Amino acid sequence: MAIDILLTLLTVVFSLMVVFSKKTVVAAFSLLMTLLVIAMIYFQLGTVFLSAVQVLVNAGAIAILFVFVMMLINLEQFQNNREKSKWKLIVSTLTMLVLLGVFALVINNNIEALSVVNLTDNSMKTLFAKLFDVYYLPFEMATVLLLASIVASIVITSHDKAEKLEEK
Amino acid sequence: MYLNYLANVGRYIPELLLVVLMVGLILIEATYSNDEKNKKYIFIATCIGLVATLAALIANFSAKGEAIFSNSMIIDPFSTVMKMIMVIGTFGAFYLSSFSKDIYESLKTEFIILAVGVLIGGMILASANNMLMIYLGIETLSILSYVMASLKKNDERSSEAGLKYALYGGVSSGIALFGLSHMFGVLGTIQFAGMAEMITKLDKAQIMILMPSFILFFVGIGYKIASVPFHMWAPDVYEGSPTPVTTFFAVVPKLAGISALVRVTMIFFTVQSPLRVGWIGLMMVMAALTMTVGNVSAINQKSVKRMLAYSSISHAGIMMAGLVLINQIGVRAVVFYGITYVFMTLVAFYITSIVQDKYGNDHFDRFQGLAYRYPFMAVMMTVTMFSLIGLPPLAGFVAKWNIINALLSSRYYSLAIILVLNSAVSAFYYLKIVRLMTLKTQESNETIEGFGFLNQLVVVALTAPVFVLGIFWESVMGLAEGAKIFIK
Repeated sequence: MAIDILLTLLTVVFSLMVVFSKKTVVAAFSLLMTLLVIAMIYFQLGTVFLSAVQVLVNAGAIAILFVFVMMLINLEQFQNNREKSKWKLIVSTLTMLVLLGVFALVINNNIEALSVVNLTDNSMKTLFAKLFDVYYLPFEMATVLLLASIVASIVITSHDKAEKLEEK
Repeated sequence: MYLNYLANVGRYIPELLLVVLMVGLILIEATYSNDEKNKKYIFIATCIGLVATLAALIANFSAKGEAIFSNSMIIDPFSTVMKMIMVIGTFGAFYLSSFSKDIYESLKTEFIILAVGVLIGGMILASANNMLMIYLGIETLSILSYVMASLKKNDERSSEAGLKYALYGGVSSGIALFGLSHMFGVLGTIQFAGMAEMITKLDKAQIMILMPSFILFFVGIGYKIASVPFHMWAPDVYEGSPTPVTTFFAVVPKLAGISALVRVTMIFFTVQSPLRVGWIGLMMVMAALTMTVGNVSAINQKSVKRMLAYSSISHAGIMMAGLVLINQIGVRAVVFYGITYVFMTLVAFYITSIVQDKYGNDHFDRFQGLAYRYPFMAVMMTVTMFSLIGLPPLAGFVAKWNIINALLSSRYYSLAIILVLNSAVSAFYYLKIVRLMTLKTQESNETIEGFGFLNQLVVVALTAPVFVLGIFWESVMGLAEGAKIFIK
């Protein structure tokens, strides 16, 4: 229980740092740490595979990609300065209140539905049995999405195609 | 299990045809380097693919509703009709792209490939039966749309449109995903039918937990149909994108979002519960706001494309008004509205695109005196504008009247009044084009190359349904009536 609370607090602290830190690198690093701590929470819950994927994909690839982009572009001009406005404050307070209310309701009402889901049975075998059985169609459709995304990324990045039309 | 899958494939042929079409187009584009020949093959292949898909959908229509692929998709008459409309819209945008100068010659194939990809996403969304498929549909629809918006790579506005679309889209689908995961946390299942069953067992406090999650979920869909608080991207994206892409955006993602919304509404909120009351309230406010904001903002626009963007926002609002009813009458009205909306949008965008190709911009002034040079096209545009306002005896009138009638029969008087008032407001800017075309003298005597014989014929063919549906609407109404939603 103590570890749970510690991890939760760490997540909150790091995600606040993502938003409020003045330096972009610190924000990116905090994002990385947030993702890692969330992976630890998954591990704590017993979902080992999810935790590994979280570390590999989210922390390993995406957060590093952020840092990489920051190294490529000039950092000085992208300081984390955002304007403050009254509306932003009102809307964020409202959202926070609603979420806190929901949270309070969840605690008060003992939602049991999640106990139906077996968190610990997540061996690769069961996972992929489901992926190729119940969730076969989403899996296949995701491949279609990826294929089209490849074309899309070529459209965006290819210089060749853009040059051709300059001539026209 | 495997035999089951094979049996299911039979009902899934339209989508599979589209996947084959997409892969085939990629292969053709990669294989033939000769530009002219390549273009011809691509054109023919796309025509065959889309017509075959339409035929497969028509063949699917009369069959009974069925849940396929472990209940993750539902193929029912409703989803089939919506898919037909989307295919027609894609076909229209594709034909427009084949002669439009707004899309770079070298990127036309990519446009079609991406459009077919988005169409597959729209079809997934139209028949999704669990939260995973809904999310997958939204993402397929969105991710490819971002690229389509920035297809004019050397144009600043187009790149801006793409980036704006991507930023708004990413945030809103993230919010929707948060809502969906919340629902899963409370209900313990992602199947719609199972969720609906769980909802009836919840007590009041637990339903209060679900309410914000449904609002969050609505953000994702509301962004796709450009409902009002999430509409800010629409005018910029519509104006910045190449016109064929705008035509496509005005039809496919919008109708896909509407059909997902219809299905969710019909599954979750038919039973009396606080959730239903909340959802009806949300829909009423959103529909009224969407209509009003769309119409009022359209008044002062200089660009016709931007005006059409705002008008499409207000039309989405009218379709949402049909959702308030949560019964088959409302669904019928929405489906009929979708059918008419496609043709009206296509004609308006075709003529705008052709005029824009000639002059390089799409300001209202470019339409001055069009009636003297191209009387036929001016008449078609006028008819479409009248139909968009909702004047009898055109299709737009029947569609609007249907929704108003349905609203009145369920005593939603305030919403009906707002709808009628909005139609009056919309007359202001729709008639502006008509006035410019007929009453102003022409700027020049130049011929507009885009209005060749074939293109005029296509425009007339697209306007014909606007006439025909306004007078002989019974048969199509029968089609919309048959568009029943199957819940499992």
